[in-house]
Amino acid sequence: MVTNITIPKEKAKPAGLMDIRDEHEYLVRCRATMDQTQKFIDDPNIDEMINWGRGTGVVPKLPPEKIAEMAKAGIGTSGIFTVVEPADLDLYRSYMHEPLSMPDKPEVGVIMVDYNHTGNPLTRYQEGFVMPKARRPDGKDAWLVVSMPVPNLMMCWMGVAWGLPKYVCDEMTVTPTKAEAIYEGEVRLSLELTPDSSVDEAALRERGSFGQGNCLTFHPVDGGTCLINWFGRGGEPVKPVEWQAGMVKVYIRPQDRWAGLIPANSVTPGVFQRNIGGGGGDFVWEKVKG
Amino acid sequence: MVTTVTIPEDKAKPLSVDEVKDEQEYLARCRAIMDVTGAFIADPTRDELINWGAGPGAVSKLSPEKLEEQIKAGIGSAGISIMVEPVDLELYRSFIYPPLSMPEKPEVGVSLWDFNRSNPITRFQEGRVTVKAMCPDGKENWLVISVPVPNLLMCYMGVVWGWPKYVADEMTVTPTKAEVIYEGEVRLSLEFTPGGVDEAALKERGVFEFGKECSFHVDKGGACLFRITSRGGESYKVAEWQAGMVKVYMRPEDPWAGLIPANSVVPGVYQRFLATGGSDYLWQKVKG
Repeated sequence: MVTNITIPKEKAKPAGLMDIRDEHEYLVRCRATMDQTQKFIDDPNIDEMINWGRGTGVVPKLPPEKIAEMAKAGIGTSGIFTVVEPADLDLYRSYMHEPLSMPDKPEVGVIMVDYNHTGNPLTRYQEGFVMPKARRPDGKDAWLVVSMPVPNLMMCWMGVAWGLPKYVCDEMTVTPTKAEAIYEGEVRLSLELTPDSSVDEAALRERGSFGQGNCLTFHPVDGGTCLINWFGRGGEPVKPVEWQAGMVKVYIRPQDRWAGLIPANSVTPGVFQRNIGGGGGDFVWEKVKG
Repeated sequence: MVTTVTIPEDKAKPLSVDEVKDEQEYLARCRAIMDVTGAFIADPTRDELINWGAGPGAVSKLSPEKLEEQIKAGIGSAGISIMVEPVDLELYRSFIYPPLSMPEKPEVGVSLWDFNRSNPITRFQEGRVTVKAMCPDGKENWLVISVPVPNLLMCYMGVVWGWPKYVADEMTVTPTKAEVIYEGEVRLSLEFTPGGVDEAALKERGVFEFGKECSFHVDKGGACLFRITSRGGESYKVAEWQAGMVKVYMRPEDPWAGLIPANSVVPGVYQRFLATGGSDYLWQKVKG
């Protein structure tokens, strides 16, 4: 006979993200998000899920004073971002599963960020991205996530349920000059930024968040998958409160299949940036039709 | 600047399941299994994963003394199981995704297990709602369509394998009642009353759906159907067994709840069984 209590009764109903006070409440909140997502995926009549099911226009625009206050408190999404020309186009093509196709200019985004959206240590986490750019059937480009390290099971479970190939690291570090994922005691992904004023800063600024806010995943559904593209729509532009251009050395563990997408120890222009969303827009999950 | 340490360096290499002493070691062990599984699914030249990659014959047979010791210690997989004819064949059919097809005799399986393999770190509970399906190679397996578990590690692993798991608030398994609480309310329960059934028919069910499951693993933008099976003879020893009637409750808002009548009462079994070793545990890719 056994009873296993994971979540005490008084914490079993989901709280708002800003109300999270402990890991139980965070788990319950995340479960509710997963239930909402699954309803969207399962319903053939709904093509978009906006703001996790809350609908359009629910994210308020942040006043400049609030952004300044958040910037001062170290809040935001910070990390190292770069884009690399692929080294192996056949390998690249092998990731372009139907209905995706090769973009005009194949590129691989490599990013590692620290999400500190609210200043709440319970919801703060890190995430790496390896993502070749892909063309949707309607001709729009987005970035297909092919590997995604995270530091905890909660984020891993949620991502995997959405079709994202996440894994739990031993350790993750994000600083302005180095971002690193350790797995089984060894470096599995790292980005090292050396500030360099000779890089084309205007071109890097145009990259914005380097595809991090425009990703693709194949979500499991009904014995197959459904292609999802998530992105921001409308609202205030993301505000970079820290921004440093330079050259980024990327290391991907050679035994990982996706390592061959880029040259070994490639060095490419990139940035360290910390961004704060300006609000007023919508976060959209779209089912991409073939 | 931030550094998050999830697994300290001295625990980062995977141990065998018998050596696991804490949650970090268990996570490292489970990660390694996921890596092996992922490599198997991604490799089109491989059709079978045997004993999690350890190969055939890697699981030695337990001696009778060891088995007896484990039986006495309460070790094993204990739970309540039923199998019942579906009431809504259209709904049933909606779960039979290609390349699966309808079996000769459609049946819904519901079970709630406590997996107690002697180490409290690795002990967990699991519910299963399954539908019997015909695989394209003519064999029947049980497609898992809802699987409550009590922790994120088991949830994550299952979801990778295409098992639609969710984390419950609370799970209980006793010989007379097994229950899953979600958001403060009962989401799945099985209440067992001994007696009054055709025991021979239930004995034939063996360990019910256990070891005969199938699911769809995400693979290359699509999905790969695989089944769990074993090779090399009987690998279970039943330590407790009691037949009776089982009242089944499934939360009505779950899409699969309509597969069986609300609060149906059907023949079922409470049992505890142990893996005896000596056979191979297989994952097989099911080809169309």
